[in-house]
Amino acid sequence: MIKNANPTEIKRGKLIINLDCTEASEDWLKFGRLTEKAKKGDKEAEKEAERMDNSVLFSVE
Amino acid sequence: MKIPRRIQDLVNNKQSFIDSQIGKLENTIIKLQSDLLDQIISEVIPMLETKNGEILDTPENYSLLAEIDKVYDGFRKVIMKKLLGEIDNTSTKLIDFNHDYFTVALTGNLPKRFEDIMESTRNKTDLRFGLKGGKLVRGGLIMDLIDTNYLADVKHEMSKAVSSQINMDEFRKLVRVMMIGDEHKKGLFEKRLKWLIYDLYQQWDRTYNLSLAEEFGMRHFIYQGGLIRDSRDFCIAHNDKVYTTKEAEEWKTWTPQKSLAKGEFPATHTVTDNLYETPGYMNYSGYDPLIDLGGYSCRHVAAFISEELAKKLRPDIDKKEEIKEFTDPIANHFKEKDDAENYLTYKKEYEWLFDSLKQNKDEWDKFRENKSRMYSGMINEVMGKEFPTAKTAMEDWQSSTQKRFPASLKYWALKLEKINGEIRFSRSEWSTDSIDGFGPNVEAGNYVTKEHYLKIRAFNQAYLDTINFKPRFLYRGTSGKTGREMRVDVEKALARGEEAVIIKDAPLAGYTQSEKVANTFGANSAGITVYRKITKSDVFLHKDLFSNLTRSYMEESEYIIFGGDFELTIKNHIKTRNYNWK
Repeated sequence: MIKNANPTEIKRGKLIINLDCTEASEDWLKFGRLTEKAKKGDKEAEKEAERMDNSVLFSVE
Repeated sequence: MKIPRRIQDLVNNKQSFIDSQIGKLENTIIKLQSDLLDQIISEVIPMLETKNGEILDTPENYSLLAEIDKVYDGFRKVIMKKLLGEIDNTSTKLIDFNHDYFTVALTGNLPKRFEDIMESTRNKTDLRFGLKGGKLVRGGLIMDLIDTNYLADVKHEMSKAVSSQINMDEFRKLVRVMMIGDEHKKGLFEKRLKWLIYDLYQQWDRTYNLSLAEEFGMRHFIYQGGLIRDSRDFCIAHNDKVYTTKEAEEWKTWTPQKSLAKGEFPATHTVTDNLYETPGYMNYSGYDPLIDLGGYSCRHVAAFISEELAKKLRPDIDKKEEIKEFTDPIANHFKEKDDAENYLTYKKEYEWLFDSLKQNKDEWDKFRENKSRMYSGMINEVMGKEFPTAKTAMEDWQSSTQKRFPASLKYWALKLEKINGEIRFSRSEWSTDSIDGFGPNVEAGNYVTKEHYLKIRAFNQAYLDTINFKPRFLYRGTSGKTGREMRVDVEKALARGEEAVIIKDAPLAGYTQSEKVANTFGANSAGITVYRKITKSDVFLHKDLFSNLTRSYMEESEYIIFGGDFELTIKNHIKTRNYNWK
């Protein structure tokens, strides 16, 4: 069974933060580098950063 | 694992007996609650004054409430007599079953005082449950259960019926359902005496069984009892396997992930409990692993066996315990003794290497500042020669942690070391088919090999020892849409007054030594920055070795550390643009 990761969830009243829920959050240094480039107008970097931010990681149970 | 037939038969016969006695006890209790209802309906309810079929609101009717207590007081003796007879008969028969079982399990090496031990252990067990010499002990566990007046609810309903003058027939129906239940709910005794019905015999037997094993010095057992369609994840993972009593102690904090990491689940099984939480059926105060096993109403048994048989059934059983004896804490981080020993062997070689390099102080200092071409070249060469597949993984890591080689490092971390967590995959790099084939491919040596994993681990630890690495904070930022969502939820948690959060991360994760870098890519970009205090054993690869290897993004001072699941207080550990504790 495939299970998509959410950025956060609440279990038994406690907040859980899934730091590896998207490519952007797992590979946060690479994502950070791309966003810095995007800020300077690099369109390719912007596109890749957007893709990573939308790429939800999943696990297989 | 092939369990000896004789042992299996003895355990199964005893369990069938317990199941049949549970059925009898349940019937007795259903009969008792029905008899009590008859008594109330025939002795108390007819005394209520009515007019036109409605119960009247009169002082006489209120005074009848005391009659219910009198009925229960009289009935208590009947309950005691009936239950005591059944419980005593069952425990006597259980002693016979255990006598036969231990005679076989001790493989003929019966201690001289065998019979005395059997008897004295019964007395001890009886006392624990509030039984003595075939009688119930006042204030004991069983007596307390029976002593409780379960008719308080009936009294309450009768008081309401009088004050609101309800119809007599309606009231009778109401009392009937409260006392004996209907197709939707169980009767009064069935509900309140649930523990007595379903767990008393099982727990009495397990307590007796465990006390005998302690007396006979037995510390190995088979988790036995078979599986049914809706068996719990815990029972599925442990059924028919051999454990030591010491291993069972760890079940207090069992999570499905721990069994997954040990490969205890059958390949076809899908875990239904939360992977990282101890399930509610065994997560309660007073849970005793060897008495409660899989929790409430569990039908499994710890079938104690000789050490000789345990070793035959599970040859690695004592090796697993020996692993705790290493003085090096990192060696104790490995699940298997062989891996720990290989790690230590490799580490010695690398310690020697770093000690020699350290002799040239100038060059060593330059290396620590990433400025020694000579040492950088030498270390790179050693890495390429000693663990080339792990070197490739580190080179790939900075371009994408989702690639096959970095993913295989995470695979080994989860498989070989005592960490929890899971590997998550991206759709851009992986399909379900490629994930299915990934484990076998890694095991076959197609990516980072196990040997190279152990070597890079040893290489890093030898380096940390050489530089006398001290605990410190490392940082990790998350920005973008994902980071914003995390920030909003952290701030909401703070507003609710919560003090801590659970962090789930990949088995291996990149962190930086630069707070500035993490904040730039985290809290200062509308996301969050996580501050984590790490010790030597948390570090998989030190920044000096990482940057020496890749020669890229050196200003990021990246470490690779063990992730998994852990709890952090928000204060001092999580920073957002709106929440800065400093």
